[in-house]
Amino acid sequence: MKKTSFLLLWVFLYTAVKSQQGFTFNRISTDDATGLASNVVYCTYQDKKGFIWVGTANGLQRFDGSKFIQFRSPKMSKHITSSALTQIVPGDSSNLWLAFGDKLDFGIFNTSTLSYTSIPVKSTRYKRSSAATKLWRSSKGEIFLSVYLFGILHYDKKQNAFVEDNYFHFPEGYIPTPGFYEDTPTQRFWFPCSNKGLAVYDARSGKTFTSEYNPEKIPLLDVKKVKPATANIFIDSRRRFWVFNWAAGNLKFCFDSTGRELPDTAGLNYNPDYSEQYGIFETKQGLLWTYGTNALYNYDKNERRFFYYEHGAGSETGIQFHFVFNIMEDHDGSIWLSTDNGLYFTTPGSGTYSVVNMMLSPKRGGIEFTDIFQLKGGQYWLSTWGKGIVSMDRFFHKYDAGVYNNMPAMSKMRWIQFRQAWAIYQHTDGKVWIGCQSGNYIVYDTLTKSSRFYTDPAFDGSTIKYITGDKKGNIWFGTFRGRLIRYDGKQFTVMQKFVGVIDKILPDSHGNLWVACEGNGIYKLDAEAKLMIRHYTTEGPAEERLFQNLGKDIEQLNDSTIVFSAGAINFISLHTGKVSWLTYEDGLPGNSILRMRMDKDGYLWMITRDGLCRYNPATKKVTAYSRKDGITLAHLTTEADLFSSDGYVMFTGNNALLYFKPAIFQTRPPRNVVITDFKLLNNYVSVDSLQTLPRVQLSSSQNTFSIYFSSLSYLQQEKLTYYYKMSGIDNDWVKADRQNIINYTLLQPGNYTFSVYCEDIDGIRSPEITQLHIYIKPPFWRTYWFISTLFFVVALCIYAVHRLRVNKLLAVEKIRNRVARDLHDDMGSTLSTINILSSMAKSRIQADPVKTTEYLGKISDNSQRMMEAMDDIVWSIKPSNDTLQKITARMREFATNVLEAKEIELDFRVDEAVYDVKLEMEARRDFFLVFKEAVNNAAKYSKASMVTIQLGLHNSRLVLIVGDDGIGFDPVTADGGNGLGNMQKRADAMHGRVHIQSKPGEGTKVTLNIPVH
Amino acid sequence: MSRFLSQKLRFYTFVSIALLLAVHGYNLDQTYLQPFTTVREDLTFTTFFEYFMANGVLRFRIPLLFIISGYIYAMKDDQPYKTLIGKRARTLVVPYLVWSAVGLLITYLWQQFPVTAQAVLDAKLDQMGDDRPYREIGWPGIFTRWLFAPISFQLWFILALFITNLVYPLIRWCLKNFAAVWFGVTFLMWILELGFFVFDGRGLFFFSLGVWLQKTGFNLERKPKWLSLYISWLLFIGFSVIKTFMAFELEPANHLTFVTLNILHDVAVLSGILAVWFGADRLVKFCMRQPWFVSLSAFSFFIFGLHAPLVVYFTRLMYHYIGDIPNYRLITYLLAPALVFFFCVGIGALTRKWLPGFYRLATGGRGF
Repeated sequence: MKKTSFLLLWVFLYTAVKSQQGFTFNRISTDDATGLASNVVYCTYQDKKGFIWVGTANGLQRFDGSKFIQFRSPKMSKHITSSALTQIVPGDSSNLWLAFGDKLDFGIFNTSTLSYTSIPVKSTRYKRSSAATKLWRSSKGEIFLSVYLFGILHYDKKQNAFVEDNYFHFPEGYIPTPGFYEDTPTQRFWFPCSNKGLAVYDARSGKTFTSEYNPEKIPLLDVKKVKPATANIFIDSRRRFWVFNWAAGNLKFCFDSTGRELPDTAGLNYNPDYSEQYGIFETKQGLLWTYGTNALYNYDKNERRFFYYEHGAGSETGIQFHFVFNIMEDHDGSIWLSTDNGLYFTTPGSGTYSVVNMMLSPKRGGIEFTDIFQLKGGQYWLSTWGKGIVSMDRFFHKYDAGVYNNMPAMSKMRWIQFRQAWAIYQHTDGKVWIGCQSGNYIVYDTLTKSSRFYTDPAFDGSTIKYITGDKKGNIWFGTFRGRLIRYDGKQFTVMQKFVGVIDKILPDSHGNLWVACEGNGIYKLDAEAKLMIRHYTTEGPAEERLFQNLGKDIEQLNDSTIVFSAGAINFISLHTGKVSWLTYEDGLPGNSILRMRMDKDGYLWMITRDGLCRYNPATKKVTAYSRKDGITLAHLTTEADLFSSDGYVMFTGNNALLYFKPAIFQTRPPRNVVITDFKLLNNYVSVDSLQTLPRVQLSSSQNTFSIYFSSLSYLQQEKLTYYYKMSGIDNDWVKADRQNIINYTLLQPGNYTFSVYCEDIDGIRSPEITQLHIYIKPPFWRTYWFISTLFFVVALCIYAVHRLRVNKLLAVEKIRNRVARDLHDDMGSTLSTINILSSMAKSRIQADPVKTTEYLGKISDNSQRMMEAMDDIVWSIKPSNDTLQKITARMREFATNVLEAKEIELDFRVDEAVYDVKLEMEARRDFFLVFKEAVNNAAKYSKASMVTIQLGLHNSRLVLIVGDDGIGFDPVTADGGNGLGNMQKRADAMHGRVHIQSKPGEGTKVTLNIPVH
Repeated sequence: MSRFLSQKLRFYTFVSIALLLAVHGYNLDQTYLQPFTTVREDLTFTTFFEYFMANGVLRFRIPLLFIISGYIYAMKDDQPYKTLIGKRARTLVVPYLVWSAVGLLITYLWQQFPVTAQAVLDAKLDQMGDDRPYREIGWPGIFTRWLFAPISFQLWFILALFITNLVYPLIRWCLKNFAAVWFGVTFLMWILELGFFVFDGRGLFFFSLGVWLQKTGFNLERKPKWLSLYISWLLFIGFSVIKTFMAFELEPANHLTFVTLNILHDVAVLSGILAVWFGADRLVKFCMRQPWFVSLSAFSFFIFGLHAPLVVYFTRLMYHYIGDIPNYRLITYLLAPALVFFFCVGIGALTRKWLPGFYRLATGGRGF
């Protein structure tokens, strides 16, 4: 009966253990402050930089570990909708293919330009319906669109459309479902084709094989089970063919490459709910997952069966869903699940190989584990309070060690007490000592596999709390009532009697004993435990005080340091006896260290009330590990610890066993930091496009921006510290806050370099410093080119002013020269003539009065001419005479005087337009003198009765015509004389022309034509 | 030709060639300079000074050399075409081959020692983009470089000059019959840096201008009345300064930047030629009165042939030795061309003395 009940207990324990083993999931949902757009997440894709692109019911998002960026606003992306994004497939360079399954819209999203281009389907047969679709990319980079009950469309780059080109040469009637698989090593595509079975396209030969055409004798094509209603096929790295079909419900098969069915689908059919499995995923480590509606399984290589994940409310693994749409593995090896209840991710590895959180009973608190010990054979023995000893082989398969098989008859109470085990220790002779309740103990002989059950008076009926051994072969016992007992192979001796439970006895490397006594600090005893060397408590000299008296665990850190977990970590120097602490203020998750265990690399693993953490003696830093790292039951494993020969750090306690290989948390250099976003004022700028530039160029008004960064390692994210520096602003590295955002406002124009790196808790830096070069352009008026241009213009102006001044001086000089010349030419010669004539008249006034009168007449004429010339000079200089009105008035006056004297009639006509013309001084004088010459000639030589003078403006030219009806002359034969020559010279000076038209008997016409402005 | 004009021609030939060293000693990150080249470095005294010199005020030299060449060639065009071309082959083609080979030899020698080999590698001068040691490249590659892609990259000038000389009758005919059209076309070729067939767009306009100046008897000794030296210098220096700042401050790879820099460059070159030619008569007279200067100017062609790739290699070598001291780039820019200049003069003097035959071959008979 006892054996039967014990067997039943084992069966129960085994089942319980198996059902609780596996991954733990972390959920990201709309409830977080991360910005997930919808809890319905259809797909994820991690790009080369490490960003995770997420397809949600509300469109496309990008996750950088701390926040989601939505790509839907018109400012951020053109034409992209916020509809259900069911697939994200990598495209060329910075392109992503997106499938909005509900809208049946497929297109290309450029992550640099944030633009989206919808790609049409060009097929006469294709009709938009709600049929299931799958967008996919072959290993050669070709893009395809599988449509349920339709077939496969191929993306044609030239047409920029999906076309129906029967790329895979399907035979008539074969319509592939979206659940195909590309077998890259063999370059074969395996297509389930509804009721026709499988079709295999061989890319090398370009042929498609089916069960009806199978010249290659592909075994699976001839397997009948595969034929009907096949929906999904998958080939794993072990060349197992997984086939799901719907011949009679959702059936799952596994075949080897010869077509032989394998039993590896074990566990896949277990599901208490209705389920559909339509997805299979294999990680880089070869771990298989299947998923679908109400379905999530992973294949446990160790157990050779699929492990079913509870996903209802209260699931221990932390995952709840109805649909799992997609599974992805990120660069760190974390698994990401897209579900209808948020985005889940879990730590790398499988339940057997990384962190195992084992609940030993479905009922919380069902089994109280008190100690764990690894036997020399590698087996793990766990003592429980009330359930005896649980034994597992080194692969964690439970077995019955038979500890209680040969129990003698005893009272019920003792029977129970022997199952209330507290401590396990295997002596060098191979015998296992098990300390039990009320001073009872069991000695198990591993050779005979039999136990002996004892009680010794040395224990005084007190529960044996701890057992250990020393180098001399002594076995040491600590009891609840504070007795320190030594067994030397012959007898038990009570060595010390302390007050309080002895939780731990540690023989150190120097041969001394350290005893943790509950509430009384820690005792240091000599090797025989006869002499108390030192008692550490919260009393005494300041440098020898403990953080608190209540401590449970002791470890030897190195040759010179004992570590005692009393609240905080208490380091006791073996050399000086001094105590130092590592507390919450120093980075400890909490001042509640309960268990400690060293691993082979010298790291100290600790269980606190706040979970698991690790102390690195080299850096003196503590790293906390949480659910994100797969640690979920640490708070329950507070009773015992072990570092196994297989390298596992193990903690156990209330119904829970936590174990892991420290290597899983081995510190790897953090990934390089990535600039995740650049927010200019309130707008996000495409980081992809920014990073293609040698530097970010901003205008002078764009001097307020935010830089977002992250290492994009989702596993390490919370253990990283970021340091940044903006050259030109920061002199040294600045520790960033947890937001990973740095805001800069109103920066001055100039060059800046933003540098950032991250550091993990052990001080290991990311390999490279990430930099972003930013240039804020100054406003143009502050650029050097503009300032130098101003200088240039100023220099030009100075030159212009100088030239103006010089020109004026030259003009004045010119006038002075002309006046001097005129005075000399006109006045000088005439005055000389007058002088001569007057001298001659004076000398002959008595002798020749007639001649004198003639001389006086000539003097008079010369004077008159001189006066006229003088008048002309003065008139021409006077600025007020610049207008044509003045000129014409003078011309009219002159002509009237001259012609009236000759009794010649004058017709003087002036166009009104002429009065707007202004002539410069030189031109005015030349113009007037030409006129004067012409009129004088008409008066003197023409014998005309009528002189006509016309002044007009034609095509910006001033035209003067002086005509007469006189006798005329022949211009060819006429002696030009000075008058006509002067007229020509003066016309030339005015850049004009003078034309004389005359014939004997037909009068004369002088035309002057000069340009005016 | 008057004595003074002869002195002027010699002076400016020498000065233009000597200043080539300062241009080829340019050592900012992007060493290949075009009129519109922008600088992607911070604006410092070093970067400003080097760009201002190499891609600003010293850019008048090659056009001026083309003008001088055209002028001198036109003076002798009464000789038969074959005779002229034969002479030019001796004075241009043979030196081209000699100096191309010398460049290869220098590079090969530098490739023999780790430090100098690294300098050659860093210089990245190979026009075919393959900077491997010549031992690895082999004879076909070396032969190709010797004839078509000389490591002495400055030799493009004498090749372009020879080709211009070849088509001289056409140039003269065009200038005689369609001078305005010809100048218009070649001017466009210059500002757009175009070429067709074997014509080099950068030199044809200025060579033609030299021919035209000689044929029209333009007085090159005295400043024309219409020319304002003040304006010429102002445009020359002012536009060079503005262009240099713009090269740092305008947006690179922008069409407007390209056009603006080109315009500034062309105006600065044209005004620079006028300012320098007509505005330094006193300096010309002074220098040409100095025996040492006249002696130095005899080595013009030798300096031209030998200075590159030496100056670039020297620059990289100096980086190796003084790269960790402040302002090493500026120091290098000032020292390397000067060192190479005196090195070339020294080697030239020795060659002329001890190997006059080779000197005559390499210089086309210049400098005796």
